[in-house]
Amino acid sequence: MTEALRCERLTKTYASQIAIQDLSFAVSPGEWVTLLGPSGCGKTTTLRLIMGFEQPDRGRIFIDDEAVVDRGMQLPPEKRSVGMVFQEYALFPHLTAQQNIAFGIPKHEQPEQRVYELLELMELEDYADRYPHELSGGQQQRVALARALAPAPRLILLDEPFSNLDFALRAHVRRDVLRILKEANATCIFVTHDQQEAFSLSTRVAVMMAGHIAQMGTPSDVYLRPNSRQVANFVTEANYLPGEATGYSVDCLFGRLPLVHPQKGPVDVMIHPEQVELNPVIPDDSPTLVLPVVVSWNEYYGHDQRIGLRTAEGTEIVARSDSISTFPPQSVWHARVTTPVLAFSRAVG
Amino acid sequence: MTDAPSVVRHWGNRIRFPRYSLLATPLQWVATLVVAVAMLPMAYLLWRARETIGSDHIDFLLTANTLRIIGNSILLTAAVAISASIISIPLAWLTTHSDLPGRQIWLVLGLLPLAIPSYLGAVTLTLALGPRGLLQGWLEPLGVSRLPEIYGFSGAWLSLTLFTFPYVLLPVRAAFLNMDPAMEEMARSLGSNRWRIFWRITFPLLRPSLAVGMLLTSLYTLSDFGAVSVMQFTTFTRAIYVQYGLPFFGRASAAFLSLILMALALSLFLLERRISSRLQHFRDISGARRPSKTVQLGRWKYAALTFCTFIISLSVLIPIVVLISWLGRHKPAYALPLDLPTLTQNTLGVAALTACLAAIATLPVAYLVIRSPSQWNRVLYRLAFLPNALPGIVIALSLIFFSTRHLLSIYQTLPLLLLGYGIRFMPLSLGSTRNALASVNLRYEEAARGLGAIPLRALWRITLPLARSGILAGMALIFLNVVKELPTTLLLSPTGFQTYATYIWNSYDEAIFSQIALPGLILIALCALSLIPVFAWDRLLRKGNGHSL
Repeated sequence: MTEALRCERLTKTYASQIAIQDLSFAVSPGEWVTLLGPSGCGKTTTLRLIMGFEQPDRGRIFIDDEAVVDRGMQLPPEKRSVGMVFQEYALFPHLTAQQNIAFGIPKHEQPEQRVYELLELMELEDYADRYPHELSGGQQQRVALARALAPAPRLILLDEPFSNLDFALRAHVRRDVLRILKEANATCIFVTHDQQEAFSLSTRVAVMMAGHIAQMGTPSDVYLRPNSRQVANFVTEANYLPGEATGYSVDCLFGRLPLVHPQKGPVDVMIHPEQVELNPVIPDDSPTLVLPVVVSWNEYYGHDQRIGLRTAEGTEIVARSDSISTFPPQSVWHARVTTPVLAFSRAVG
Repeated sequence: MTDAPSVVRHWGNRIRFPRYSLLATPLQWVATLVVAVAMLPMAYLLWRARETIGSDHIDFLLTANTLRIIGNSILLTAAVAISASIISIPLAWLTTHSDLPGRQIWLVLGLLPLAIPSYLGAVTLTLALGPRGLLQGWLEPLGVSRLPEIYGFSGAWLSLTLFTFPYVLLPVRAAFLNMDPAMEEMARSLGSNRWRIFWRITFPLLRPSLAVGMLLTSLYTLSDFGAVSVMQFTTFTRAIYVQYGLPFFGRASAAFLSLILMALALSLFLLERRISSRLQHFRDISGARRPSKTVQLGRWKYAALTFCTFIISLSVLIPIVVLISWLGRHKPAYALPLDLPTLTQNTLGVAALTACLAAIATLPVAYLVIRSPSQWNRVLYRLAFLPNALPGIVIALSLIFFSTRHLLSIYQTLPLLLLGYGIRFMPLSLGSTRNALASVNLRYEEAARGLGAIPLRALWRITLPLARSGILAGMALIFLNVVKELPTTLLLSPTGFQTYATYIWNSYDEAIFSQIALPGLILIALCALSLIPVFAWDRLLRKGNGHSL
């Protein structure tokens, strides 16, 4: 089976500080993978290694099963056929939108035709002769994308592509960009530090921590079943309650809850805020324990809201709810968890 | 959060040169070659010194004559540096901190002396102030029959001061512009009067810039050949020229004197580099600041205007008025034929060619120090500045010695002349080329590479166009200096090859002043025109129009 990209045991050190260590992952053709991680985790370095702007100390990189980095062999960036959209776009300021897009198309491939198609795809026909500084942020973004797509690269890398756009513009531009990438049938690798962006953009998410991939999987995999406490801390805002696992279930504040993975011993039970179900009255024949809680604070986001709760023993719990119900402070609710939960075994002592 | 503190980001303009680049190695070779060629005159002179300098040279050094030359040079250099500062500090202050009427015009007029070659200026001064000159002509009816002697030290001092003071004016003015008004206000609030503030606050802040300007003027004075020759004041350059013309022992003593001159110039130069690099550091710290409050001159306005008018009359007006007054005068039959088209073609041709070649030659050196500031590349960059310290006559002589001994085929050819100009003036564009390249964000180049451009294409299509104005400013500076340059042209030109500089010089030598008028005016106009791009770029930089994303 062909792979669009394969990184094998990449290691990169800067001045004796490790930026990337033993990094391995593969991307299938047409896949959209996001490298997600806190700043400084090595995700942009990874892009630069794939692009060829940096050379790894160790490891190999294959694009379409062809080695681009292998035992000292190093294909220069211009030979890799990889497109990149920079965080700052880096549109050539002395060239028009049209000239920017045409830059990467070989002369013998009728650049005019291809540029026209791309301008049309980007809905930028009217802006062809504008210079970058005469374009809005969203338009610049689309020109940068068109420029990267123009030479029909085997792979497109996007480094924090939406971070330079203001919030109002971001959702709109993101939709456009995704539509275009889909139409171009491109294999994409995104880099972002924004969990929501990562989950909504990609078919798979690779969570990077301290220079290596901590977990890679579908967005729901990573969100619902993080494989470590660190990953969970980064991708979720979950509650952690002490508990005792007994095989297929765990005993904690919310009574006996089913476990996603069978395990035994003292654990921290992870409960997503949206797993906490709040009822104004005690529900009839509940399968699990129902806990009376008092609302201590409330953050209203519009599409949903976060509610801070306190139990009778003083444990703080965060729940998430739709935006319709109202949760006045000091009001009393009945909380329960019915869906399977994840638990991380606690280091003894 | 498991944010690893050990992980660092490493990009921006000063990224290590990634080893992927095909450009790195060939470029390194080219840059090394360029610097090696630039070092040739210096190295050759030193190498030859080994075999030619014996005990008789030590005796020669100690003759009264040689000691007088050294004394003259040092005296003149120091005097010019001091008088240039005395003119420049008030002028810089008036054009930055005061409500002097027409400040911009005075500034431009104050920079115009840069467009007047020192030999031409000196000639016009002798014609104006010398025996039977313009001034005496005007004063004759008043019964003044003798003016103070212009030839000798006083004339050399006056002309070099008048035509080099902008080298002090520029850095001092920049220092005044950069000065934080809060400092002076602070001092005032503490009860200091203006005079005390100047000596305790302003002057110390000014000192490094002033030192840089004085050293630049000194360097110029030390290497000047034209003005001291016109004024018949024997300094190194004049002595070297005279010795070179003598048979037998002449060449060896010329070489020996060159060596001493080189040592003097190099030490001044290295001192200047030290101070100005520290200055750079000063400036980096300063952020945006309020413009200084302008001082109301009040009654002093007239004194200030008189001062400016006096300086500008001497340094700009006299040369132009004298040249115009000689325009229509009678030419003797034996005068050199004045072939303006050929002169123009020769002058512009060599100047443009040198500017282009030097720009191409400096590019690898400047590019590497920006994109790959390894130890080696930084050393190359610093070495490339050294030839700027060498007086033209030293470079020219060294190249003559070298070519007559080892490469006779290029002796007295155009390529040797271009080489001489190139080595002498290449450093002038190095700094501005470096700064221009540094203002282009590395991202642009990477984006081009990612789009399939080989390094050379990325450089050609993206980096160079973005750095264009800075590179052009450097080229204009080289152009200006080639047009003005006398000793290199005089010594290295092929037989019969005349530029404006040599034509004016030869006409002066034969005392046919009417022949100088028209070429002199054209020369000044050419130089003034090439000053425009130099200062346009300076403006642009101050506005912060770098391509830094």
